[in-house]
Amino acid sequence: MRSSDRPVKQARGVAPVTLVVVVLTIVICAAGTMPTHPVQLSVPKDWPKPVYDLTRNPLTQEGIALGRKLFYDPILSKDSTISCASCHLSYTAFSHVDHRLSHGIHDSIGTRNAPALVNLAWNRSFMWDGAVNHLDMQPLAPIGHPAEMGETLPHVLFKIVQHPEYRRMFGEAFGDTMVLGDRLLKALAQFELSLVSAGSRYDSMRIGAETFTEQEMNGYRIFRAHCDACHKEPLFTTGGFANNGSPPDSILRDGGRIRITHDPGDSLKFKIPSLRNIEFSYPYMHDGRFRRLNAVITHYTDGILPSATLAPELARPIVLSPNERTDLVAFLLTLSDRDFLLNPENAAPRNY
Amino acid sequence: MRSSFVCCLLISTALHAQLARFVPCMGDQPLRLDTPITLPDGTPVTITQFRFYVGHFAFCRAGKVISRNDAFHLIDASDSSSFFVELDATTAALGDSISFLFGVDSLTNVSGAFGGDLDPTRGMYWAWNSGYINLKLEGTCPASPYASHAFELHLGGYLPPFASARRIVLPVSGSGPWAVAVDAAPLLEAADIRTKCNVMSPGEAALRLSSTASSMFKHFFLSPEDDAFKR
Repeated sequence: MRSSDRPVKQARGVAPVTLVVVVLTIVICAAGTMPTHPVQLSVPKDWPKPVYDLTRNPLTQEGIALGRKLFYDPILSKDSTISCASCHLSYTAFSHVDHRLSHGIHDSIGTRNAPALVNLAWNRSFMWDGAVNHLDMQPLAPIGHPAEMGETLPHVLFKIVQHPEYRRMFGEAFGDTMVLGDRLLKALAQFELSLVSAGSRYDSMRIGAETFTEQEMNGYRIFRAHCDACHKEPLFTTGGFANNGSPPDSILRDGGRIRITHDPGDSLKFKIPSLRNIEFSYPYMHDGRFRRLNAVITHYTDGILPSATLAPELARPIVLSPNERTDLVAFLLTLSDRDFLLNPENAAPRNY
Repeated sequence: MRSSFVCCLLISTALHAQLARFVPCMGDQPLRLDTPITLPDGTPVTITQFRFYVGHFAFCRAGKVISRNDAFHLIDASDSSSFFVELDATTAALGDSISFLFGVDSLTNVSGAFGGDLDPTRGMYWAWNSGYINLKLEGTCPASPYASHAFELHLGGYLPPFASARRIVLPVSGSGPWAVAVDAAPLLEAADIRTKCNVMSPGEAALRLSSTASSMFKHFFLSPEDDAFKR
């Protein structure tokens, strides 16, 4: 049968050709693809293991640089007016300082306070109600929301691929210049993963490099007595959801976590935010209702709305003397990480 | 030595890739998009979009998995090249059943961005309640109470108690190719498209409709020469 001997003939003749093709391919790849430069996620001593699986998206200088460019580029929005950084400013802990609710295209106002972005490698879920389950997928929400960026991912890619600079950067980060959805999301994730804040006075105290004042230390004791259950060290959040007794806004009527789980037991529960850089991330709470830390503390001492889902830790009133309140604020200010806020690598790219 | 190795390689490669074809249907007829048809209960309907994920294929013999392929495929009624799924025929020939997931499994749902058929640019992902949309069935029906009489059934959800992916097991014999009819009619009947039936988030409605999957997928036999296997 011809078919049985033909492969044998081909095999003898084809093998050297195959070898040449393989060698050529390697040469072409070597010439066309610059190696990437791996970056190690900085995991502070004694911190838990990151939640994000870095083996599926290894950090590289090129990936982070691309993600940073995307983060600061309003091309992600329908009319090129809103970038990620519009609501997440590096100098204010990647929160939207002074704005209660998120802003979008056409002066749209959203329904929730843009949260600070920090230590995202340790986040199990995203958004105030945990709507998003993975850092990679998080940008899809603001990109697609009509009151935020009002775009679609396919159209963003269509716009981006027309820029030689982006094609070059995708090539550097991913080996070829294909501008693909999963690559865009992974690059943004890489930049966001690089936003590690662990250089506060609190962190220095922890490693023994600095000592707290008596007032700060007293505030720390008060914090541990009343706040630590939800705002757990060293991330200053458990990553869970809780009803902190905030009366729901009558206009927003936001039920929080119940929207995702449909479980009445999750009514009025919102994600517990990290308190790192809290000095700069005002206004506070999911709807930005409080402008000052003092108002937040007053909420916890005098403003708790009892309900079936109230966090059990808040069932008994928290009583603080005026001095204790001042001491608690003094401690909270030790969570500011100015090196993080002013790190030029976190700010808009210089050549932008 | 080398020549016989190459010979074996070529033969096994030829056998390795065996095609299964998913045929979107309405009742016992292949589904035609944008074409008015009448459901068995007399309801007139025009289907404009029918897309769904299948994946995690496994061939089984006496209930034991003998080969598996964890890839996912997006079958899109508007693109006949998407109907074909390549399967490992060397072990498939030994199997007595094929099993696959209708929808995307929970682990994939929580593992971040993927490319290929799972790329979120495919429009099969919920951005504001993370998770893949396992199935989209859209169309118009004169009795539908929605604007333009258009209805949208988007099924998905991976978290208990609303986890909606379903494992489908179908008997197979021979080494293929196989065809699987995917009948949209049971889903339309269960949804009752003459009422406010839209589903666009995980929950009880998506869960209930996803349970019609067992009556949507039917195996049927075709000869390799059948038109259905011509790409």
